[in-house]
Amino acid sequence: MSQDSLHALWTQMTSDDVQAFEQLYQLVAHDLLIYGKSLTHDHELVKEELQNLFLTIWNKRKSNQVPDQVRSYLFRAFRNNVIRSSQQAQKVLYKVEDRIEEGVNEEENLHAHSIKDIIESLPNRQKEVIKLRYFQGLDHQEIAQVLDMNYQSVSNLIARAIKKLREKMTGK
Amino acid sequence: MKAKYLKYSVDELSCDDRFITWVQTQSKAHPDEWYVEGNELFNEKVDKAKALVEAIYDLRDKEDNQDVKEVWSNIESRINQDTNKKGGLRSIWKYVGGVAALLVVVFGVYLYMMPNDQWVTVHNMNEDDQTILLSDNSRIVLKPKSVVRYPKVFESTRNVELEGEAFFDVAKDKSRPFMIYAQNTITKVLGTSFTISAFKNRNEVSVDVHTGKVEVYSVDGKGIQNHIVELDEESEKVFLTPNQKAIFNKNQMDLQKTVMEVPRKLSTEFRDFKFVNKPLEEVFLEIEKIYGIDIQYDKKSLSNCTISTQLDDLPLPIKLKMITKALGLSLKEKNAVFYVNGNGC
Repeated sequence: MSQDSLHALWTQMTSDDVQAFEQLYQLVAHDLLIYGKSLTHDHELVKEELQNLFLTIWNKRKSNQVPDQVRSYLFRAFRNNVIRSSQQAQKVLYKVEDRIEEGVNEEENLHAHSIKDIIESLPNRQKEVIKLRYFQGLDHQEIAQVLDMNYQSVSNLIARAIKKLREKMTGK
Repeated sequence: MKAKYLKYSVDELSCDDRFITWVQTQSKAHPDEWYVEGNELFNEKVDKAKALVEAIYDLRDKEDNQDVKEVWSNIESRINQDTNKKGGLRSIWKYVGGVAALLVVVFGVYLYMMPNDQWVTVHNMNEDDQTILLSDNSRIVLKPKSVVRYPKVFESTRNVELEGEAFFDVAKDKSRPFMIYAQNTITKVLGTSFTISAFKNRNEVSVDVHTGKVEVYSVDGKGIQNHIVELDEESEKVFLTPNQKAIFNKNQMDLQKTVMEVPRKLSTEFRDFKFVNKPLEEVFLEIEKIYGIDIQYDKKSLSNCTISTQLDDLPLPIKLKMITKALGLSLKEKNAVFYVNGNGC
């Protein structure tokens, strides 16, 4: 799924091409859904926001510009919408401010057993970055755009999480 | 691979974008890409980093296809309603319906490069359509059990081979006509969309035009394999406009043009096809305009014919049949032209 083909599909969609629009959806919907569900337990809300996001894209296809980075644009818009509506409904798994307190629960990781446990027990920001990188396939640059962080911070978060996972795997 | 990677630790490799992409999507096709012959120290690091990235990747959720479909069908029905209100894209939707599960499936598709040149062959073994984006931004929607061959990058020509059925949406490029070689036919276009059906075991090849103009040539089998066919004034060919199709009969080597079985409305204006005491001439004019077809009849002898009817949901041929039957007229179709005859009303 290259950035170029997403960009090409979006451009085609602006001339009322429903097929291109559907392909664009099919290329990213799966990853967006899984990502959204990691942000809130309310899965119906996630589905609703995905629907709203794509309906808005379709309805405004004439007035909105084609984003330079289609995938990070979609993730970022989707993330913001999911977090906003789940905060309204008090259902968000964590608040954005959590990143300030990052590290608080790092000490609790010592007894985690599997890689899955370790990932789940990572500080929220690290967890989100790891999921975007290894599950959703976004690269460092895209993650920085989605989370509005700089590139180096993203690299640091990933490196820290990987170090922890490796230590666990090699039994240190 | 760049030399800088040789100094990377296992952790650094595990975090590298290019390395992760290789592990997750390319390591099956290019298993050796990251290994360096003779450098066991480095190769061991690659092994470890690969194992870690794979272990993480295996944890991702994989069960959301149902939701992907459900959300799409909601979106689809909402934009469908909107366009129906305006009478806009309904016709396109009839086509899109068949493409519903598009692209969800990537499995079972054989994709390999030809050894000597840069041609790609895609064989759709799925039950769903598969979409292919070409280097010129043209698009092919390949139907099940169909094969398409195309150059990875188009250079001075745009030649594609097809066996089976596919919808083509060809990007405009006047300097390089897009040519599709399918059985004994060549379809030549500049920029348009259409469907070709050319199965080996069927006697007929058909080309349905959705938009734009298309030329279809019939050729003998010899030159077609090497794309060395000279297309000139002498070649047998038909010109197609939207809602027309070419049928090539392989046994009789016979190329004909006709109207699509279910022609689509070309006008985006909404028409309900409700006529009250309307002169036949006006009714025909409206139908010709909306479907881009040609109706021939004797205006003088049929000048006193009027019609009251509502024909909204019926396909074009049925519409015409209903009208002519109601007025006691005869209807024939030849070479994509409808002929209406009778002795007046």
